Amino acid sequence: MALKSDTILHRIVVYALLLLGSAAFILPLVWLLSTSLKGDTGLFEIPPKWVPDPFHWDNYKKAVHSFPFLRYTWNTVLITVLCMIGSMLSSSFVAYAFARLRWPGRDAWFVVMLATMMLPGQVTMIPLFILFKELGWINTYLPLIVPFFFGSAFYIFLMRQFFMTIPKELSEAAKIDGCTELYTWWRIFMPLSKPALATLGIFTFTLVWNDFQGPLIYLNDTNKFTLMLGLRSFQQQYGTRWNVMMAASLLVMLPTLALFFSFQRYFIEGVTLTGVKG
Amino acid sequence: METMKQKKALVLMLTTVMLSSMLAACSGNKDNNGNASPSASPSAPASGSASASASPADEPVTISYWHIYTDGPMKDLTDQLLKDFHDQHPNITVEQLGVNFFDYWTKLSTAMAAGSGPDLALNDTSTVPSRAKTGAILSTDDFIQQDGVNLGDYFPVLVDLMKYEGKMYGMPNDTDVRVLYYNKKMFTDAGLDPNKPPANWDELEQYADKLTKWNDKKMLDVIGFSPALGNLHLWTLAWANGGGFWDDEGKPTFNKPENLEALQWEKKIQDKYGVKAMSAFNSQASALGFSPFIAGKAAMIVDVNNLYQEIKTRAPDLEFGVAPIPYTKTPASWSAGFDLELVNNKDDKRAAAAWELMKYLTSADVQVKIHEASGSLVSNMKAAQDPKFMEDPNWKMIVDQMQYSRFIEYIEAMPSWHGNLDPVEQAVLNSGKDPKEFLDGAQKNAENAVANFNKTK
Repeated sequence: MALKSDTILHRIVVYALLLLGSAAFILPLVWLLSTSLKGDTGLFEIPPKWVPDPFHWDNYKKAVHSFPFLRYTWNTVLITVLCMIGSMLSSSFVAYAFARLRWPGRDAWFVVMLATMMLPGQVTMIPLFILFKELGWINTYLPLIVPFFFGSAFYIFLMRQFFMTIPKELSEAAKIDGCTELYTWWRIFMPLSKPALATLGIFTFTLVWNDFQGPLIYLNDTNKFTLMLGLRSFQQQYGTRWNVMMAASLLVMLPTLALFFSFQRYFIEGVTLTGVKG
Repeated sequence: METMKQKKALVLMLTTVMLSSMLAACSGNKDNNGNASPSASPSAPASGSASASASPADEPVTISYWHIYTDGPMKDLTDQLLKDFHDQHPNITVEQLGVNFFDYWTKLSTAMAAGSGPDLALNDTSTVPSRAKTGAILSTDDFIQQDGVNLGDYFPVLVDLMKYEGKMYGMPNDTDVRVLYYNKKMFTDAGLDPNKPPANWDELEQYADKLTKWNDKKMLDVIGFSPALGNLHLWTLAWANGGGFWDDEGKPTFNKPENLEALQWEKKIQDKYGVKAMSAFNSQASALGFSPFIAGKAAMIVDVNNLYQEIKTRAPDLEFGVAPIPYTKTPASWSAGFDLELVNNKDDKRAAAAWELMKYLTSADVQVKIHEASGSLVSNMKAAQDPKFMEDPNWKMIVDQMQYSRFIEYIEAMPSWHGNLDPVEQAVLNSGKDPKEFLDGAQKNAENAVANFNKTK
């Protein structure tokens, strides 16, 4: 009897804490929704009103018409999908070499690769920009997409750690059956690494979808802009249309939200993958 | 052993990277010096300005124009103006790009550093010399002479800022100026003459005391005047007190007695309110989302001329007046502004077309439209002082301040010196730090910056 009431108490405390935690995390989202429905005058009311009166649904109309919303959505989707394909293919490919192939200097090169993670983006910004300019890639999507087809240190690291956990026997068996390394990577390692690949894909998605600086410096033609650039257009030197901006932000966030709920499992796994296996 | 090796490799890597970036920085400076030496005329601008004569009229040309108008009336006006321009010059196609004010500088500086900037760029008036010196932008002298543009039509202080080694590098576009706004109704209620705004610091202090309203909880209902509100900065007050932060030789004079007096005076005023009441007031005021002056929470405030535009839209019934910033020795105000520059893309035809657009955008008719759309203080005096605008005594007062207004000195060794002063002012006003100690510290920092810069020469 005593035991049972203990567990009930335990549960109550746990759920209360969880509820509190979720409330803290959902609050900004609710505030975003609330602001996106407010009129121009009710924005900074004290005490703040959570439920706007009346609902200004026209903010959403204004948001969609303030910049070419569909066009920017298409641009962003195009870039994001290509980047996801690129990073999944290239990072796992390189990771396979680091995890399973034996070649001279492999470990040293691994360290060199990890060291590139230490370079802050600001340091490489101008040299990279000049490089892409010499290639004639300014005002195209190439500087935003192509780098993802050459792997990135963190993703390679992530994939390598995952590949290391796959039993050697599997690849050895494949080799005995006459499987080439390329084939082993594609037919055995890739299908076995779906959770890691999904993590990688989701990371790339959020990174590219939310990327602001890349499109800002490389794109000059407003028709080629991405959603993030569109969002910022509401911010002006003397004042911002917060309500319209929040409405647009919510629309831009929807795909991320949808992705999160459908792949929640992988998000969590991603955290444990990156957290424990380092 | 393995980890040791890895560590060593890492250290080697990092050292190489750091060394190579340092080398790059050094060589960059040498280049700058080469250009700056008086004997060698800056080569890149010369080639560009020579092009003025070689601009065939009707050949089709496409140019790019970057600006900061991404939303609201100025975006619509820019679209319209560019359409009108294209009607007048069918051979010139303008590809415009608006990036919001906060991100624009990243975009523009990256592109210009890599030599892929726009043909015409809106830029910061106070840093023209830095780009003129390196040849990143072209001189507009020949164009101005060839087309007979009268520089006398523009505010003299702005024209001076566009000059480097005696040559014009672009055209001023618009500016701003700080003035004192005062609530006439509160003046009457407090027994003050609503047509006599304070002219000096003593009056400002006396009036502020009369206008300040405390409530039962010892909190502030209305602030008479606070140097921490609005857009008054230490340098503006110091200038008004005959002070300054740099002498003619480019040496810092941060702890000059006049500057110290200004900071001490600010502290004296601010201490009347106390940190507790002030922070309560601030948290309320910032929740408003607009100026406390508009909300009737501040009886007097020093702010940018844009506040006037905001009052017109948010509180059209507010009874208020505009006056010069009270001063002790010299009338003074602070301005910042935007100019239009021809980016050196080594293409004479595009430069000539970009000049046409620059000339158009700074012409009186167009600048009148810009003022009507944004309320901004345009650089063309014919437009800013158009009789239909000058009928408004408040606007006239704002425009008249341009004869006393100053810009931040461009100091190559310390381009953001004024940005470093704001925290000093904040610390003195909010945390009760000693003004002298802090100005001495700022002086030392500036001296170090100059000394370090001189070493790189």
